[in-house]
Amino acid sequence: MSAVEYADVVVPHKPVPLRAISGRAASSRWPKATFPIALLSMLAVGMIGQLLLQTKIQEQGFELAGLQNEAYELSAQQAILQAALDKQFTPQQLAYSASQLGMVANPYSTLLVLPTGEIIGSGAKVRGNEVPIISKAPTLPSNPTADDGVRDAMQVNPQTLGGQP
Amino acid sequence: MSDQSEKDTALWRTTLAHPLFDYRVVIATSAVLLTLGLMMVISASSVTAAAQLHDPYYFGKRQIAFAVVGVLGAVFLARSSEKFTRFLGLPALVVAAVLIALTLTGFGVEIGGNRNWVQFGPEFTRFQPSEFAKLAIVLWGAHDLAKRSKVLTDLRHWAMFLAGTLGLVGLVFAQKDAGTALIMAAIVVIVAIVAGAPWRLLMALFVAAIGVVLLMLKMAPFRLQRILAYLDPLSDPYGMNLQPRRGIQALASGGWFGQGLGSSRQKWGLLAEAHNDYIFAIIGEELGLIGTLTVIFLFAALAFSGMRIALKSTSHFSRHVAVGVVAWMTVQSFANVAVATRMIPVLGIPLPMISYGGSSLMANLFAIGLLVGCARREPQAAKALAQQRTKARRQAVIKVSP
Amino acid sequence: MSKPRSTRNNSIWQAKLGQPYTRATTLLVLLIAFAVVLSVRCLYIQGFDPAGNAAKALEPVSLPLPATRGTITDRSGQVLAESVPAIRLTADPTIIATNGMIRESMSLADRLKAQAGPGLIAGILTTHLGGDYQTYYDKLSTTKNEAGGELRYTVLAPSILTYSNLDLQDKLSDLGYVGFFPEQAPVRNYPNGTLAANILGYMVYSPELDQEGKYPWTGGDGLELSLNAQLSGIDGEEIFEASPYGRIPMGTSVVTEPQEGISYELTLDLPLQYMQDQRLAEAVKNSRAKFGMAITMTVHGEILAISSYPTFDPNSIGEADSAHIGIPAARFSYEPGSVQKLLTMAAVVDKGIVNPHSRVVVPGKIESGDSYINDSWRHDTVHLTATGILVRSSNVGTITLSRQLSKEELVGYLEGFGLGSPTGIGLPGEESGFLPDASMSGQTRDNISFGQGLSVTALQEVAAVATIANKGVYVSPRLIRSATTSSGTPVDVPSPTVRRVISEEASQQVLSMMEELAQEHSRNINVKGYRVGTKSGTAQKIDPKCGCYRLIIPSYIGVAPAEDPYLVTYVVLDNTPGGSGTQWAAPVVQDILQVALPRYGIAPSTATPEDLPLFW
Repeated sequence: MSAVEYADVVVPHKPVPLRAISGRAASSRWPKATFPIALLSMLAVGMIGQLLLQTKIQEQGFELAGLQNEAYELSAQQAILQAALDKQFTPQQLAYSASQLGMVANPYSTLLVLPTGEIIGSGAKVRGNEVPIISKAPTLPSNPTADDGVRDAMQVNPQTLGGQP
Repeated sequence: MSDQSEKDTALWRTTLAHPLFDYRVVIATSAVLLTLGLMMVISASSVTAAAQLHDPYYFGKRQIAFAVVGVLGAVFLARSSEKFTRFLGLPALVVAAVLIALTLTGFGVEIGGNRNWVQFGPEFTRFQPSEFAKLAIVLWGAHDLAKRSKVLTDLRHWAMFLAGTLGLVGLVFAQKDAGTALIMAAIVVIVAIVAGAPWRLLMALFVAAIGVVLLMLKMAPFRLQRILAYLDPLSDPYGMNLQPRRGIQALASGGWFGQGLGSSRQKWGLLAEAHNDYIFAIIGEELGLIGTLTVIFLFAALAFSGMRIALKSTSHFSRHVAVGVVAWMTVQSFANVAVATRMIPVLGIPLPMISYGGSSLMANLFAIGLLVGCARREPQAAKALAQQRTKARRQAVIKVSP
Repeated sequence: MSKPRSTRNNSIWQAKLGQPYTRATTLLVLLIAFAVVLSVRCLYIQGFDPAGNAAKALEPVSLPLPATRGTITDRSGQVLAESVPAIRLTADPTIIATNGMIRESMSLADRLKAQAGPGLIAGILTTHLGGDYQTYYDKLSTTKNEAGGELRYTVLAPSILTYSNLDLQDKLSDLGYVGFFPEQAPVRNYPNGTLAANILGYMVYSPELDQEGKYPWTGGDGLELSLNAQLSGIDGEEIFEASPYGRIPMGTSVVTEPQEGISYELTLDLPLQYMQDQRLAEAVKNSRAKFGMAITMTVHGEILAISSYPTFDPNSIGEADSAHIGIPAARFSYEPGSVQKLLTMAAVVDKGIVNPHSRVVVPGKIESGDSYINDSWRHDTVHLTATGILVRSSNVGTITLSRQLSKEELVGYLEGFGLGSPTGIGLPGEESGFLPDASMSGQTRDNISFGQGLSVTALQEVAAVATIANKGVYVSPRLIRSATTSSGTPVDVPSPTVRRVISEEASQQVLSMMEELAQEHSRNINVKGYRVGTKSGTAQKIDPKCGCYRLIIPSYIGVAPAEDPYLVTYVVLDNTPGGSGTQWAAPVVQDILQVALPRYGIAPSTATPEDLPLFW
């Protein structure tokens, strides 16, 4: 290493003859910058990579929340529609619908015995008054139709589906 | 041992003595700050952007675009001659004044309760003239002072300088952007101080400043509330003190090494202006104490080298410009950090080169360009740069010819 | 940089310039110093954090994951009780007042928008939810509570079906209004209305649960109450870091899955329940009884239908008459009357004292204690067979026979039949009735032989008679057929108590006596195509208005088919002004058995029954 000279900022330095081996000025030096720059670049690349990864995870977080919401909504819809459907299967509804169609109850069943195939009973014709308790065209509290049932369920009247205040 | 330490001090001395030291430091620190800034803007804004605009890189992309334009402008300004740069001074002042005045008219746009934007039609023409006003006062102020450098002992010659610069400050203040106005006033005062302003003048400015501050507080009780909220940290935890509280929480949760880039919790809508005025808090949260100290150090290094450029400058204009840019960068960045760390009440100013904002980023980069220009024009540095170019050519020649 | 010499005299405008080098260096030192101060401050906040702000930054939120209440179905899977998801829509009037913004940062447009909020929103609510516009408006705009503090919670709608709520929320967020918070408030739906309401029960509001922040409804009576713990399940919990933009991924996340309620399949047959309910209602109205009960069970203790009239609709429990809710079949104790004679007869037949053909001399009245007991028809001494005693329902004859047993033996048999203790069916508040012990007086023993002086519940009595029909084996009645978790895994249900009380032969003999009775009364009880065994009861009750025995508890029990019994139906009416079991209750038993027997595929009886003599 050549001797280091102290230089004053104000004094312009003498021009140094061009040397093919080393082009550095004698009175001031600049340390080689390649290593720090390479290091910083690697750091920058790493940081950018992490940033992109995190951002992707965030995006997926949003997506997940949206899908979960959707799943909840759908299951709630399903439960409500199921409740509306259940209303159609009540014996009151069935009795009403059947009697509207002009059907009457027949308590005298014809039985088929398996596996012999024997038939018991003869399917007697009924007059319509054999089971007066359900043949008397029962009236339902609001005589709903099937559509009313579903629409009922979709509306907000708490009285139709549980009355807790 | 002392031999080694002697050698180390000698190494430092010679490095500092290098004519291109300050030039390279300014470029390096700005580059690092800019890169860091871009990364932090992407990180801090990604949640808000994804939630409200469905593109997490919305703000990041824009910031990169503005950075490119800013860097191009900076390079242009850095390579310009002093004559050309001085020539820009007056037009810059006039244009800035006009644009600020326009914010008060129909072209003005209000965003976030502040009417300090202009827009001429499509969205990308929207910008904040107050940011460019800072550039204008530095350019024109330096030009004016340099013109009158021989007669500045006469206080009357300071009047034009003060009228022009403080007039622009007043316009910005009229926009109700007190924070920016304060920074601009500080730049003016610092430039005046280093330019040698007599004590009488400084005293008069000081008294005037107090008067203005009192007027400010009286005019808008909002500002008083901010000060009161600052003085009593436990008050109004979900109102005025919400942002400062969250800022401190963000910094604290960063600890020594940070949560990791991208892992901020506060940017999930908990900290307002996370990608803007409070981005320092997000840096603290994600990169920890290391990150915050690095940012402070970078700005301090910028100040150091900038001042050295100012003092080495052979022209008055270069010196005033350099001082102005240093004042701008340091005062604004330190003020922003002081707000984020709750050392002063909320001012509403962004962190230079890091906060999101096209206008402020471009203005900051142009300012850096001016500073680099000053550094390049310094005679020894200019010589060294020229030598490097010829050296490279000669080396190429040597290498090529066997 | 040198000071220029002023050419004028020192006037007020002349002043010395400062030295740039000194000033610049001073300034730089100041700036660096400030940078150090900032760094120390950062070190303080981030490195040491004495105020613990790092912990405050992460405030995990705990969200309860409510368990879905189990479903109750009948034996064919038809839903009796189910939980339907619903939302309680609440709002924070303080947030609505500024539409979620900080007052100071609101522009004029923001302020106008927030002001218009309550009116606009009240309109939307009225359109979507019905209700009164003014009520909504007041709720949305009242920002102070009674104490004068900020009001942060108000209920806009207590129960909205979830997808109209979502529609509503979309509309509100499209318009840019915030401050609405939906809460889970599932609704218990009983699609079948009044059917089996008494044993199903209903839901009641529990202030304790509400204060704990849990779903505030719990079972009030019936199976909803006795199975409440199993039906409710256990709520889960989710701990995560919340933010205005949702859950923070990579943040704290701990999920405890809820344990969903267990669902129960009951032994009930809903269509049969419906028919029985209708028929009972008719009988109660015709007889002007205070109320009536009917139970149809398999002889193995599975309850197919259990009716009460008057009854209530658990969907609108708030409007129900408190006298009509409750479970009389398990709680109403009464003197069973002549139906009890079946048990007495079963005991003496099992002991070998008599058989259906045994000959008994029956006087017109018999001394018991300090008075006499006679029959419902006046007679001198008659020669009745054991069958005749039962068929003619002779009190005197029954006492004559029961006196052949010791008191211990009689009590032993009756306890075996399940009297005097609850059946353990799993309904809340089941009474045990009253059975005197072996130290009772002779008069009491005489009384209990023909159904007075002891009290039973309908469940006890029907299970006791079913024992006779079930080849002498007592099986305690039950309502629960099976239970499963929400994932379909079966859960154990309590098994019934099973014990032999009388021999199979004895049960056969008593059955044939019952069949003879049915045939004797074929005018009143005739189930076409099937052989049945029956017994009527007509207990007398004191009318408090006159202090005399004027009110009647008519009852009737029928077992079919007599040759191999499968079903038993028992009907009890209370406080009829007159009449008898045969008059009021028998038609119900007949009609029920008529529809029930073919329902379960029981072939019509082919063989003709043996004719038993009543006299000798």
